[in-house]
Amino acid sequence: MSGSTVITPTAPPVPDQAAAPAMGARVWAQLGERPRLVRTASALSFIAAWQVGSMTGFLDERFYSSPTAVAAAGAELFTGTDMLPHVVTTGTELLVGYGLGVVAAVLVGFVLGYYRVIGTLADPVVMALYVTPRLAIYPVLVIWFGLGLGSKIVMVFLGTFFMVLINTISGVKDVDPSLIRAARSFMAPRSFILRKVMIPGAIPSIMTGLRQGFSQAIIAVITAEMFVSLSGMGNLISTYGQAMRTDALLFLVLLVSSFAYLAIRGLSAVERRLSSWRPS
Amino acid sequence: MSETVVEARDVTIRYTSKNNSSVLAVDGLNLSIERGEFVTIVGSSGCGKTSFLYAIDGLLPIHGGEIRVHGGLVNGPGRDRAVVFQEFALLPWRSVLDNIAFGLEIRKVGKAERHAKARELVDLVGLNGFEDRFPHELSGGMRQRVGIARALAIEPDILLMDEPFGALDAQTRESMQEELLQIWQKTGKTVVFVTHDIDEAIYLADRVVVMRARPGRIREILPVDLPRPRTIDVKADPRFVRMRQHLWHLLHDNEPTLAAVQAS
Amino acid sequence: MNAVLEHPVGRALSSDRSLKVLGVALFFGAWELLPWVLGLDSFVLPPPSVIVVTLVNEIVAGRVTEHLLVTMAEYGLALGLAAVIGISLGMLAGRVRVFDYALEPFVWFLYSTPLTAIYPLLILWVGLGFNSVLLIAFLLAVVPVIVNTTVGVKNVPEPYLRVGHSFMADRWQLLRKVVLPGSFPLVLAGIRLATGRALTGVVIGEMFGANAGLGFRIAENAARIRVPEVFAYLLLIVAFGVVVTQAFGALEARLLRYQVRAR
Ligand SMILES: Nc1ncnc2c1ncn2[C@@H]1O[C@H](COP(=O)(O)OP(=O)(O)O)[C@@H](O)[C@H]1O
Ligand SMILES: [Mg+2]
Repeated sequence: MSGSTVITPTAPPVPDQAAAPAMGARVWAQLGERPRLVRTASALSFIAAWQVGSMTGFLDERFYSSPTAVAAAGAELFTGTDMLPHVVTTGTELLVGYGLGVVAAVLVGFVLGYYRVIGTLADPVVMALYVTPRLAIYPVLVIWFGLGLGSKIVMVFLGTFFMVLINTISGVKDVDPSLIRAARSFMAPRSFILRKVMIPGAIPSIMTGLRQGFSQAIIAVITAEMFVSLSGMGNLISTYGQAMRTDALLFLVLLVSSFAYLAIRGLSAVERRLSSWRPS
Repeated sequence: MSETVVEARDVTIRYTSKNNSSVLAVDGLNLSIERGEFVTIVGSSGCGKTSFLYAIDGLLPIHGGEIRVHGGLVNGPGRDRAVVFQEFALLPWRSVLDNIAFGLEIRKVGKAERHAKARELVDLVGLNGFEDRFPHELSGGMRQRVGIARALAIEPDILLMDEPFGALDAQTRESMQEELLQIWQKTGKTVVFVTHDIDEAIYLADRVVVMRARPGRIREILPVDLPRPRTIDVKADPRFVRMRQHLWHLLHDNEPTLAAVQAS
Repeated sequence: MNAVLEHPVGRALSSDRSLKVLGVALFFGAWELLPWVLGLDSFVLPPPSVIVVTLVNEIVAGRVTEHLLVTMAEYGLALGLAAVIGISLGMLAGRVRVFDYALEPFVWFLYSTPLTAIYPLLILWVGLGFNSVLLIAFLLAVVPVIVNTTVGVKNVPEPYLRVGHSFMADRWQLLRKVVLPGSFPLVLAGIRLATGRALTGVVIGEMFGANAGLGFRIAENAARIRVPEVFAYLLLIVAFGVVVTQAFGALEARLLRYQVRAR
């Protein structure tokens, strides 16, 4: 349906020669063609309502802050040097945990996806751990690995691992068996089948895993740090929370979610490019 | 005695894309159809058959001319018309019985009553025993029986059929054609039947409307003076053979006149 | 037809099933041996036998039922609300483009924000305990329902809508009898995602800011460094997740039985 030219009127029967639509209806129809405008207007009116609400005292500033207060807190945080070490901590945990998680999950995923027996053996355990909230294990990780980076890295690792794993397995399993058969019938060696058939076939699905795994990783690192930590963005968020600094807290939340949003947009752009050969 | 039920005058249908280029699907089409008549429309794919049929139903707005049904201007679907869609268009989450009863349900007919009516139609189209099946459990022929029954259930005067047998294998198609003729004779509906199969067009019709593409126009209207009730043997009738040959040439664009063919 | 198919398919399934049982057994067996091999105390890494005994003790001591019920109540409510509100918003967004665009920034925000980060705020707004747990679980769960319903509604095949129009369905009938069932597979997929996210929300909420529920018991025991107890509750949560997933899978299969079985 998408792609090329979209041609409209199959939908509801409208008497074509009907009287010109009312002004309101015309504006409405035009808005339907202007996604960007509507999105921006929607977000801006939310912010405006929030600002007005707090200025009139309808929203208690201690609880709800206000856009201007959030902006001011942001300026303060950025000009000061307090935030930098926290960014470094979180960045390190995120990169190390995510990197290790991806590598491990892709390797294990290929094994579980390729060897049917091993895959079936592991299936119930993988599924059970996939469907349960892995963050619940974090308190144990703290006991095992301490308050510092270690416990967060492991948490991020676990968050990433299962997302990428599930997607890799399904990607490998879904590689068209007739392609593999064809390669075999040409007596292609195993390594060739792996490099030229299995890996390219599984890549789109792995990319989906990388994207979903990354959002899991961010949730994992922030939540873990908030639960108990010595430093990091989550630590900072929870410190401001306890101090009822809603302005700074909201600014940090916006910062983290903008980062997550951009990272995920980037990853899905790569994902789309790598899977563009697929029939949608 | 004869009464015009569908009257199309100078009908134009256009599709406009977002970048404002437009396709003229039907251009200046004139046709009137009598009560109880069986009219088939043939033409190569893309010549505007479906568009015209949908316009009669009121599913598509027209951009010029007018279509009258029972004297009234069409400006939307009506109670007196029902469409049998190409590729069946059954609702996959509904059982056979509930698919047939769909139109009645929309008209807020009570459950007992609409199911009773749907069962009558199950009988008529020979689907007994399949009432509770889902569409995906049926063969193509059975699915289109459901499509026909669904249209008949709301008791329309005019049945609009869009290549209803196009997706069926040759054998099923022939037996469906025969059954359709029987149903038509029993119920006396007016039928407008779109197809791109020449044999089917002649075999079923009182008149064959031949369309040409880009823009969609009527090229010729061919009366079929073969006796009814027709059986499959009629396809061996010399008149049938001549008409088929004529239509074949028409559709393949080097057009000898009917007279020329008859003389040969 | 069933009889013919039953034999080979049934056999493949049963061999699959025994492999799976074997897999679970291997997993727990290896775990049972692991502390012993590593020379770790069961206070540090409890083997499954110890975890099960601990869990039984907890249950017998009456420390589980109440918390399990709280978790179940929060979970059920959060998921139910997410389904109802998510489907309603998604239907609206799927049918009314302007509304879809207007909703998008908020959906994006909810999707990309690690929502636990706003948990301190939620507590500030609705108080510790049941309310804040419910709210965070709801917020996590509602997003995929909205998104999937929107996409599902937009992608209801044109022929189905045409049938609705042709048989003169009014707006409401079209919505109820064509659009909603037509988008059902995707809506259900959204709810399936929500079942997992709601559980995450409930457990995390309970760990952070509640005084009841399985998550609370985890945090409480962890604070006292009682690892076997923590694992006992983790086991319960895993079981909870598995049961919910299986139950939903069965429900989904039943609701979508009209579809051709995929592969
Ligand atoms: N939804 C649509 N959008 C754009 N063009 C269309 C659409 N439907 C039909 N057309 C165009 O209108 C013409 C007639 O189509 P149609 O009525 O479906 O023909 P037929 O049923 O005879 O195959 C074709 O050229 C086709 O490309
Ligand atoms: Mg057509």
